[in-house]
Amino acid sequence: MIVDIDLEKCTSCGDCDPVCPADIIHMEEQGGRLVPVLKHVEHCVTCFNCEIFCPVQCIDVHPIVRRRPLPW
Amino acid sequence: MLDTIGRLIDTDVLVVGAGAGGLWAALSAKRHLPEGRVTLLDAHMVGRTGHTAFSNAWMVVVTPDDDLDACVRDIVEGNEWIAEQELIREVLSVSHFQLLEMERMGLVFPKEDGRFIRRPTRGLKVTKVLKPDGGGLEYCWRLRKALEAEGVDLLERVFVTDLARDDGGRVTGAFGIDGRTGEFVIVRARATVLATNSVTFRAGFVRDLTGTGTHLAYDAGAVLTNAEFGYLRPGTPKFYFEGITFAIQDGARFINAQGEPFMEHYEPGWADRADVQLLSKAMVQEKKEGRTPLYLDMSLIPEEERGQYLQSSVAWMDYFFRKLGDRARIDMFGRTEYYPLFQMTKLGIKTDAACRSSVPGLLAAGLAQASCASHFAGFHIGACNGTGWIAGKSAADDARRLEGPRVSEGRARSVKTEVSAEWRDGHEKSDDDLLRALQALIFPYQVSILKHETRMRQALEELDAIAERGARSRAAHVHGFVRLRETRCMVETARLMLEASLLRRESRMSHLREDFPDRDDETWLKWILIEKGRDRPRLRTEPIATPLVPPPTPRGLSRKDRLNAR
Repeated sequence: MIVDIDLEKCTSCGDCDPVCPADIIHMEEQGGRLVPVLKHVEHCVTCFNCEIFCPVQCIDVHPIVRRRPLPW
Repeated sequence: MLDTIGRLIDTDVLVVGAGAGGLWAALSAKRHLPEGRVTLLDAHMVGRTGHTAFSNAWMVVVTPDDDLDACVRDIVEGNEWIAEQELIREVLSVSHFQLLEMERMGLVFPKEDGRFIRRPTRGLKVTKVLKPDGGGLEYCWRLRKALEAEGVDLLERVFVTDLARDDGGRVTGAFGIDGRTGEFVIVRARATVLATNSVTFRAGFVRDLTGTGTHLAYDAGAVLTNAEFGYLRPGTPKFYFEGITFAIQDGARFINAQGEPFMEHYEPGWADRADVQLLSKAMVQEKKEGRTPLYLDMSLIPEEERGQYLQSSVAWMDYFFRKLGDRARIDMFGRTEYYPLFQMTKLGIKTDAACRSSVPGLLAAGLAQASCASHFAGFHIGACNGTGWIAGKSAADDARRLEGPRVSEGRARSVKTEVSAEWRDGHEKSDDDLLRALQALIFPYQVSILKHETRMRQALEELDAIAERGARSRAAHVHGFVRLRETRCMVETARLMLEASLLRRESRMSHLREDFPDRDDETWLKWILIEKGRDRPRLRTEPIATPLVPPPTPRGLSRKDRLNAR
């Protein structure tokens, strides 16, 4: 699950927003500039797309997701 | 005027869903209708999102050196005859042409001495698979660039809520909303191809991504099938690992609590190399006999072979594997507890060999189309490639043949009103509770993996309450609305799955009945066809056509006898 976006490093390019297949990163204006905001983080599918396509490596995704009900 | 109701887009061919099936359908439609307008619509970004993008993109390809008839037989027999034989043959026939097209797009398929490097895959005897460097992300991106170069229009971040139909019942496009702003969108099309993902119950990681196309078709009157079958596969909730097939080829073994490699007992020929549904079936049996927990023991993979599992040409898997040890302190080369997981349904739209559904103007491709009930490792994308190409060609033909599409203003207003009533700022957020209730009902192995009439009837009763709750639910924002529509689709899929599973009183592939444990070819070489009824689904059966691969001979005959019988 996505755990952190380093806004100090973020260049506001917006590349992370459309590549998210779960619609959880929204570019929004904060403090006079566009920044990525996590909207529905519980729906992250841990695909790493945001981290992969961030040109300045300011996003961190943790490899584990919340457990789903198991068959037993 | 329709354009006062929402954003109006006119096109000749509309393709919904930009996975492998949709990408190829759009390309094929444009190639076969170069003067026409082709629009590829996706709920997210074309080429970067969706199930295909996150796959390894292993795909079945039949080259001119292969025996095409043997490959058709391989897939039909592997499907225990639940397969559209003529369509499978068409799909395999175009696969080599598509491979060469993909090379022209710049995809690199590794070769040795000038020949494609291909591997065998689980459950198939002669059919081989290969994959491009970069896996699904690179595959989808190259196809996107090809579509842009050929003039296909891309319509992104639009979620389709309903299909448009004229007075005669023909599908004439789709209604949807912008996934971010909620703007109402109307697409008027001469022919529409549904190429969305299978319906999943969000089993974790990218398996959380689901498709709704089958239910759009169902609501429009199309016939569905294969609801009783699913994609069962061993998995671990700890991490997402797509490489079980090759890990086993490199020495990994499934073992039970006593450390016994149990697959040798259940499948003496295939053992751990058996198809995933046989692995899942054996795991359930081990559970019933008290020999759990079950593990995948990757420690048996030689040190020198491990590098390929820690690095991947598929970007997200590469990130994933690197972080498993560092961040999650998980050693994938140890013993990891595994379970049989219900990954997705095989419910699909029934079509003819040209991918036309039972509703005029509506075609299907990819996993929304029901070409077969098991896709093995590699025929998921193989089938999507082929059905995409075939559906795109048929859609281009239909766009030429059919009259201009009519979408009534009354219907557009009614859909818009219904959609707007379901999401509004301030509504209570409830879609996740609904999903959790559904998962708690479906995921237990006694319901979705090892089925029994008594348990399925009880699950259906409980499902009614979940469906009623779903119908009353409203969303607090557009994101929640999309999730809610997807969850309702899962609820209805669960109903179709249970109803069809009750009707098929035998066991076959992923459909395992505890109360009817044997395969019954005399009675059940049939499709279960489903149409929408007034209150409940209407189910009926239809014999499976066997024009290319004859039906199996009665059990008890030797392989030599069976071969002689052909």
